[in-house]
Amino acid sequence: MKQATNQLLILIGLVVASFSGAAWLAPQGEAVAASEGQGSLLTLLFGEGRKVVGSYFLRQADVTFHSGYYPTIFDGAQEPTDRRYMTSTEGSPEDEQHDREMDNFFKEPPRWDLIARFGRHFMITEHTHLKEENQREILPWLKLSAELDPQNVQTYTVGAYFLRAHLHKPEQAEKFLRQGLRANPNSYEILYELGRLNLENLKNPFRARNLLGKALKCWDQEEGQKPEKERNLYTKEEIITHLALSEKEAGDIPKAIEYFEMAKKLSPNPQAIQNWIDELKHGMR
Amino acid sequence: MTTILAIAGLVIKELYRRKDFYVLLVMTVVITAVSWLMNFFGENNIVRLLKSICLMLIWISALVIAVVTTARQIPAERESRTIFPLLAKPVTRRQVLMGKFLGCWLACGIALVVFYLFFGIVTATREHLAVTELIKGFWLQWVMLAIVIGLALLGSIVFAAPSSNSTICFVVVGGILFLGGHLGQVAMHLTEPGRTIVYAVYFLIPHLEWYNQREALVNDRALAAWSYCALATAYAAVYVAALLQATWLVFRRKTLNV
Repeated sequence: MKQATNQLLILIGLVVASFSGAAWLAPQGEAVAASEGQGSLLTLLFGEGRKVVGSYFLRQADVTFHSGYYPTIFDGAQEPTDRRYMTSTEGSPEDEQHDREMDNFFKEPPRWDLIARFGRHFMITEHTHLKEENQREILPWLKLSAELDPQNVQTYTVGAYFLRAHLHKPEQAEKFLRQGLRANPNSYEILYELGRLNLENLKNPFRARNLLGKALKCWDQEEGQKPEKERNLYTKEEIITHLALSEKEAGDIPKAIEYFEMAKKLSPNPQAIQNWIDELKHGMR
Repeated sequence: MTTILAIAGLVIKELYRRKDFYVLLVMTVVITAVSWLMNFFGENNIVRLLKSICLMLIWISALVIAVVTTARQIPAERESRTIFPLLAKPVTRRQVLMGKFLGCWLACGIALVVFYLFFGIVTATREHLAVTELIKGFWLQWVMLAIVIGLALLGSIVFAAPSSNSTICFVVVGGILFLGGHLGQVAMHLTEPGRTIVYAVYFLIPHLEWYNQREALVNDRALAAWSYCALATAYAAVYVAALLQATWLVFRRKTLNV
C-alpha cells in the first residue's frame, strides 16, 4: 500500500515537473522566435538547417505532382530546380522541355543486370501530372516549405498558381502571395503573380496596374544588373503584356497600346501582339 | 513442427506482453491524428501527406519491432539460462532457431495487420480505398521483414549484445533500403577494383527496396502484378533460408554459457 502511494506521489511529481517545464519553456521559445522574426514551431525546430528541409519539402511537392515518378541523384538526370513547368500550360515550350527531360531519365538497364530489370516492376515508371482537384495534394508541402524557407520565391508563385487557376481559391492565393511578399519585398515574380491574380481572378485592374508597375520596376532593378544573356526576358514580357491588359481593362487604351508596343519587342510571337494593337486602335476610331 | 509452433507461440505471447508494440501504435495514431487536424489553405480533403506520414511511421515501427524483438530472443534465453531446460527437452537447436524465427515473423505479421487496418481506416475516410493494392503492400512489407528477422537472428548469435546487433541491423537495412538499388549505377562509374567490389555487393545483398511500396500506395499507383510479388516472395525465401542456415551453422557449436 505504501509502495503504491510512493509510486503515485512520484507520478504526480513528474506530471508537475513536466507541466512546470512546459510553462517555463513556452514563453522562452516564443521570445526566441520573436527575436529572430520567425513565428513557427517548425522554424524553431530545424534552426539553421531549415532551408535544406524547406528545399526538400518543395521537392516533395514536385514528387507529389508527379505521383511518385521522380529522378534521384543516381538516375543520371539533373533534378529539376526551375519548377516553372508546374505553372506552364500543356503544350507550352516549358512543358515540352520538361516532358523530354522526365521521359528520358529512366535509362534501360543492361541485359545482364537482372536485379535492376526485375526491380523495375516495383518502381513507378509512368510520367503523369496530377489533374484538377487532386492538385491540392501538393499544397501541404508548399506551405511547409514556405514556413521553413521563406526566401524561396518559387514556393509562393507555384502555390498561388494552383490555388487561383485550378482550385478556384483566389483569396487564399492572395494571402499566400502577400506572405511571400513580406519575406521578399522586391520580388518581381511575386508582384507579377499578385498583379495577374488581381487582373484575372479578383477583377481589380486598378490594383493589378499598380502591382505590375512595381513588378516591372523590381525586374529592372534585379535583372538589369545581370549580363543580357542571363536576364529573365520571358517574365518581363509577361509583366508588360499583363500591364497592357490591365490598362485596357481600366479604360486607358493609349497606355495599353504603349505597353503592347513594348511587349512586341520582347515577344517570340510579335504578330499576335500586333493583332491586339490593331484591335485596340480599331476600337478607338 | 509442433515443437517449432510451441516456441513460436511463446514469442508471440511475449510481443503482446511487452509494451513496445503498444507504444509504437499509440505514437503512430497520435502523430497521424495531429496531421489530420492540420489545415492547409482551407482544403479539407488532402490525403497524400496524411498517408505519407502514416506509412512512414508504420515502416519505422515495423522495423523497430522486427529488429528489437528478434535481437533479444537468444541472448535473453542464454542470460536467464532458460535455454538449458529448453534444450534438455527433445528440442534441437535447429528447432529453437526455427521457432524463434517463425514466432518473430508471425508477431510482426500480427502487428502489421493492426497498423495496416489503421492505415486503411485513415485512407477510407478521405478517399476510395484500393484494398487489393493495400494487401499487396502489406504482403511485400511482411516478406521483407522475414529477411530482416533472419538477419537479426544471425546477428544475435554473432554479436555479443542485443544493442550492438540492433544498431548494426538498422544500419544495414537502412543502407540497403536507401542505396541498395543504386549500387549498380554507382559501380558503372567506378574504376577497377572498386567496380568489381561494388558489383559483388550489389548482387549479394537482398534487395529490400523492391518491397518498399510506400510511394505507390501514397500516390494511388498500381503496385507490381501478383506474379512479380510471388517471384519477390521466392527471392526473399531463398535469402531467409540462407540466413537461417548460416545462423544454425554458428549456433550448433556455440557455447551457451554467458
